[in-house]
Amino acid sequence: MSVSRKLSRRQFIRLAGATAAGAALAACAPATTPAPTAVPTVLKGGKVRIAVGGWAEQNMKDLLAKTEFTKKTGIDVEIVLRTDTKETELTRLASAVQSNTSPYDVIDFEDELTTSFSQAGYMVGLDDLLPADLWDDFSPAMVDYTKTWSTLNGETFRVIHNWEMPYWFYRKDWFDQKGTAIPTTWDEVKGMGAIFTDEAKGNWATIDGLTKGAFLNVYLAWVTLQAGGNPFDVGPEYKAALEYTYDLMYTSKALNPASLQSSYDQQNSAYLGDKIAFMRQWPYFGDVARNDDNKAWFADDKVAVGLPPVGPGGKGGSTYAAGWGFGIVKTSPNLAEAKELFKFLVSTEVAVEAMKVGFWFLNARKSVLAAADPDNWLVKSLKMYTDAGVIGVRPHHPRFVEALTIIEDTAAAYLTKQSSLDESMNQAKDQLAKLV
Amino acid sequence: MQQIHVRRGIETKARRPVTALPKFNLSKSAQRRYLLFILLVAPAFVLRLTTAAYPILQTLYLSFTNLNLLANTNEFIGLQNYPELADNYGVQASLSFTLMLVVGSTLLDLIVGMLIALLLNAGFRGVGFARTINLIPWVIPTIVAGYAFRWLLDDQFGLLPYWIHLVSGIRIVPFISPLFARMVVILVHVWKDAPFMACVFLAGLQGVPLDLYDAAKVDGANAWQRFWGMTVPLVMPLTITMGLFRLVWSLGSFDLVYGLTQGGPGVATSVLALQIFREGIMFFKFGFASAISVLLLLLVGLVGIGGLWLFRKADVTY
Amino acid sequence: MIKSQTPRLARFKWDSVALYAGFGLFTLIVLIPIYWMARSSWSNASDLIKLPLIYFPTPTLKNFQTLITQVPFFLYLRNSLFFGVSTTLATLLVSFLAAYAFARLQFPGSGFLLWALVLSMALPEVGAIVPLYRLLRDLHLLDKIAGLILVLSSTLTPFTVWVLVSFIKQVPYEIEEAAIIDGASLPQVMWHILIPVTLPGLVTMGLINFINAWNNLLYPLAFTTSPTAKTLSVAITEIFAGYSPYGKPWELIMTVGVAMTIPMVILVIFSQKAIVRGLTSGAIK
Repeated sequence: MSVSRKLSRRQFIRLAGATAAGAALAACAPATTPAPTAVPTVLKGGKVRIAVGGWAEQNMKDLLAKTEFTKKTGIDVEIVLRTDTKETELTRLASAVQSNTSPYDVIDFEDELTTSFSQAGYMVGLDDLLPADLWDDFSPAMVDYTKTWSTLNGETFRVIHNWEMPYWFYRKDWFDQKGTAIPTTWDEVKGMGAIFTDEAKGNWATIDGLTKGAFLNVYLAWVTLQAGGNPFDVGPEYKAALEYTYDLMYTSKALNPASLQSSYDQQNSAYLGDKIAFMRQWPYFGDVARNDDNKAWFADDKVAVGLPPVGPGGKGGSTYAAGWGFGIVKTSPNLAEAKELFKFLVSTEVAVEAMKVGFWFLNARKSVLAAADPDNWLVKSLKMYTDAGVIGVRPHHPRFVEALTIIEDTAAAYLTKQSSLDESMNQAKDQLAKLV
Repeated sequence: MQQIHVRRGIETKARRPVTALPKFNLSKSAQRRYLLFILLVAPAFVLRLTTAAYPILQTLYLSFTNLNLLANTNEFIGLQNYPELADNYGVQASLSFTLMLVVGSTLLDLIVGMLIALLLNAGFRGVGFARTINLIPWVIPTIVAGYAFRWLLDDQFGLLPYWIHLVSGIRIVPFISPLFARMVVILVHVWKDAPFMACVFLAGLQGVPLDLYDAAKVDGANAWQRFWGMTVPLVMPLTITMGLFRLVWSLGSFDLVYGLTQGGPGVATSVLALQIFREGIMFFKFGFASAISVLLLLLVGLVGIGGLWLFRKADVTY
Repeated sequence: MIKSQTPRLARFKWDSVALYAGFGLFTLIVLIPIYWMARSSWSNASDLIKLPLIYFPTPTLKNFQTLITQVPFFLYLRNSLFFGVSTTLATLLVSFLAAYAFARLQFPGSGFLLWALVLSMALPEVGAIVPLYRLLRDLHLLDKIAGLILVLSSTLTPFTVWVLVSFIKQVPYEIEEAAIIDGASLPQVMWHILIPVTLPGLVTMGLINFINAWNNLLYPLAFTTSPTAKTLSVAITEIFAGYSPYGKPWELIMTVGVAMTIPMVILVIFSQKAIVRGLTSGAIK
């Protein structure tokens, strides 16, 4: 339905981040761009449509141009834009599949849609199309993640090209000033409240983005993983995570309760406004902190990246990563071409080239990390986290979209003191039980 | 005059309603009238029947199924959806807040609407301006009002929390407190709807003959007594009608909550319309969403009937 | 009426002060949110997150530019306009015919029918949303403005009929009678006599229905997915929810808000009396 057009929708803030990253990368990319060594099959003409988000359109165009896909295979690529929200994308593909067609052939999609689409049977199994060395190239964390989020019943339906996790940013200058080390356990995090929070001034140790609409759920997944479990199990780990969060908000006063209606951008404003000492935040913040608006404020010390605290669940689950990746729609009218494009995009050579085009394609594949600029802050952080082995698997649920709403609603009720912990957990348990 | 075929007979029958004629023997002109009537109201009724009446019946039927597009189920399950309504924390919370919202905002609408009407009724310089800006809250799209107030009340950069902090040093975060959030939803609702009430009340007030007031003044009644003893009873039928309409309309309120709080914190400000939208249009659980719709329709029916009964009782003539 | 001088003055002053205070308060309460929205639309995004708050930021058109280039704004605008005008015309047509019938052709059951029609106004828009979704899907009108027009004109018809009936009833029948005797057919009576006379009522209801269609959110939100059918009201929710996965670009949200509100405000300034008359004539019977 949507055709690539000049009036493309871009996610502005991400674009700012991606552009900044691209610019930074261009400044330190190697002088020569080695040509990809894999030679894809040449098909006689044909075309393929790939759906990407507005923020990734330019990156994809650049990648295809640089690697000369069309020249090598004779296949024309048309870039189709994703609709604005997951729900509309779901509706769009669902209606098309009913009529045995598809608005695109290859799609770049995220975790939630991968779950929905693969369960609904819309996607092609990809195992035959994968390069032999793919799983070796993937970092162990990526492999584990793929098993949960990109496969169904042992079949792979998506290969990710983007691997993002929330990083732990902190004010090294403040920590040095106070002579404190960054917290490494939950108890130490609680202790941060006494050191940094000054409610009268509006300063808190940390703030997070916990508003309705998938933000709170992402946090709960993160913190329950630290506790060693999956929030959708509504078990003792989830309970520990909720209690910990409640404590941080109201007892040890390390986490600003206003987080419950904050988005990530608001979090960033607080950080850039010198109101908080550390935060869990997605990598785009690193770019935001370095952009033109904040040049005057920025200093390396102010935006340091450290390892996240380790919860009762142990080091291996201190954080998790999520990704976007490529899949092929079953009812595509251009299946052969789609498979070619897919194979091309997931090959090692193209994966490396893609990373050089833009950090939208940055991930922890060994080949990619090896070729990335070691001085770039994001690459350094990714390496740090990968090497430390702190990346766990994002908690999963087969009916993810509905399940996350249930968790969000019940947890928010507890965290805003509307219901007791037991009530909140029982409600979550009851409703989740009804889902499967 | 134009040369067109003349309808015979209509001119003689024009004013008399067709009552006395037996059913099986309608005269030609009466038949024509009947046909004409049907022809003229047909579009409206076809429209209403196909997009309102029949869909309601379908909603009722669907509520007895477990139709779910994503889970691929579609079986008749009788009344099983209904006990689930009672079990579902979202529906429970929506039901109670919908009632709170409806009653609270309607009462406030009436009071504030009357106050505004009194203001607009008074003669003072600028009353024309007041009357014009009075319509702005009514005409602004509800969703825009929802977002505007959400931003206005933002805890970091919104105007009102900022002023409150300047004046009192307290930092409020309206949307994480269920009490505050509910109050905000109700008050913004009033902001949006009271002007409409005010217009109606104003028309009512202006319909009251001034000599009634003068006579009362002569008799020694002060402003307060005049208001309660005369204005209120005279405007009462209007009040009840408008109150009734507002009650019923606000039961289906969706836009404001969708924009202002999305039902949060948790489900503290969720309303039935929001739940129906969520379960039906977002999760594709058509059967369950229809059950919630039936609940809403029952509520509308109850309130409507209750209101009509009230209206009959409070019939005022003067 | 003999009253002493002092109490009268005292009363007068107090009344006056209260009145002007009320007027001032009223104006503030109505206009502050509007100003806040407008301010956010013409200021730089970075100015919005500076503390202390900047009440009068330097105006810039950047947000409007962003809107026009990054979002298919004009497409949405066209859709909203088309939706508004078509719904209005369709509703007026259907309602006028029915209103004429109810006003002029009385039957033993017609009162009940009118009552039933008006009563259907009580049905909340969201009440039958699921069957409507399936109906539009079966008619292949899902994701098309025509589908939206169908559903909304149906929703607006009862109130329009109600109001038009009272307008038509105010026209003395003698005029029509005279025309009929002179040989005019019904369409001619309607076109040449009734419509000109009830024009104020039609214009009023036209305005009210257009405003309703322009502001309507639920139907476009539920029934459309592609930009060729979405309206401005859906656009604003998308910018709120989907434009960025990281937060809410308030400056853009408010810009769309302003774009949606300005036409309505202009409409209201110029036709305030007509609108009020329409809204109240239905209620005051």
